[in-house]
Amino acid sequence: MDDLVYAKIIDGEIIFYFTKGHTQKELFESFKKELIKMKSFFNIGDSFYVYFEDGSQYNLINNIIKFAKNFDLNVAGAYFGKLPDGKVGNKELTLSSTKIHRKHLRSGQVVQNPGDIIIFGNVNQGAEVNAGGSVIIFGKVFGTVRAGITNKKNVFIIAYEMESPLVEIAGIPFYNYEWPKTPISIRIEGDKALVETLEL
Amino acid sequence: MENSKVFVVTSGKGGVGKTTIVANLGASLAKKGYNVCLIDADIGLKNLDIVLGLENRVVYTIIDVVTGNKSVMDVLVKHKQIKNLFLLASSQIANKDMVSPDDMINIVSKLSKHFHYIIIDSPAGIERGFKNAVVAAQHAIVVTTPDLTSISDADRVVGLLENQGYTENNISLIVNRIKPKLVKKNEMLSANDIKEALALNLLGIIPESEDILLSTNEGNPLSISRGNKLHVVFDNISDRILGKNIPIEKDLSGIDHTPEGFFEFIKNLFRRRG
Repeated sequence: MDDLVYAKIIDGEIIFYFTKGHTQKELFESFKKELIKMKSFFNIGDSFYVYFEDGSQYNLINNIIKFAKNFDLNVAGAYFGKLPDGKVGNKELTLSSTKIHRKHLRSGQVVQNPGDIIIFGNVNQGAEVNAGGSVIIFGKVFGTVRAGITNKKNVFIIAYEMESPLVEIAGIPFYNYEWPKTPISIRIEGDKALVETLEL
Repeated sequence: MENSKVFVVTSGKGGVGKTTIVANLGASLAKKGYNVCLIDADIGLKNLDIVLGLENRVVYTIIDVVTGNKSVMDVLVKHKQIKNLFLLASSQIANKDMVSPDDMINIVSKLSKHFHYIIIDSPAGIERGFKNAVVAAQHAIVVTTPDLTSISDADRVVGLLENQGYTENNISLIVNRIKPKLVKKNEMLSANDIKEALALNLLGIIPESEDILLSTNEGNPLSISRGNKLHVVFDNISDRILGKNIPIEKDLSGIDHTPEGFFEFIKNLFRRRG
């Protein structure tokens, strides 16, 4: 992964990894982008951890805390140099469990989960689905769907019928896309997102 | 008397006919012999007393109950003709913040010893007034017209109701102001389209009619207003609330699909005067 800053979820905690070998300015810009991308993933008052591969860059924390306050988020703690055992993890996240929603998702309702999400019902206009992993929807989709928010690449979206104005997969958006009127799947192939019709 | 069944009629969007439905549904249930109390939760913009023709009889309001001036049973206004239909009026000078959800729960629990059915008329919008209206009820009736604006607001309201602990089993849908002629020509969404979009149980379909306008101006609910066909629809809906199984198609069958002629309208005008 060539991102300067990326987020991982380990043991249900969100950790932003600041890689070494970059200037503080570059890192901070990259962190801002990453946090804005992920902001729908957080609830107000949530907190996250930061980890600096290069421990000498600790003075960046002040700016990070200030920036996070704009989104009502807190920094719960910071790690430097070597991560404590158990926090190391693989590069791909160890995802938490799948969330299953057995109702229609109404306007104004939000379903979010660091792992995968399965929905049995329609996602109506104005509703949001935010998943750290993949999303499967057995129903029509008129609302917003985001998969792979934590920049996970091997995620997919499967929907029975897609009519959504905004679908995002691993940060790649589809605005006002002309969806086929069939069940579809969206997955990541290289740097591109691929839309395919599905035979069910 | 055992505890009453408490309904709230809500919609999100304004002007879809909540108040009219509350008044006519209440009248229809009362006509069938049940003790019915209607609560106007639209504090600051009250209408229910006017639809019932009781605007001159309201002396005390829900605010007098909340401040402790009067007890709930003292402020109820009895309908002129239907003796077992009561109204808990709202105040025009107060605002919605003067009543809290807890007050509403208290009021409803006191009333529920005396009535079979309590129907709460919710204000438009999703702010404090909506919360007040919704919190004390066991069953929600969502009203929508066949417009996309109204349907999308209804969807939002159902979402909020679900957040308040309602489920698909105690939310039902009334589609108001359907024009069967336009539906036939595929120019208007049918009740079934709306039912599918919102995924709720359909409690009734009310066709567009001038009878409603006339009965509202008259201040008489349809069940006691003379010469209209629409009261059948409200009787069907109240029967469904009572647990009878009446097919939805019956709501539209009794209605003459041809629009009322000019002559008929004049005749109605004279009938109203006389």
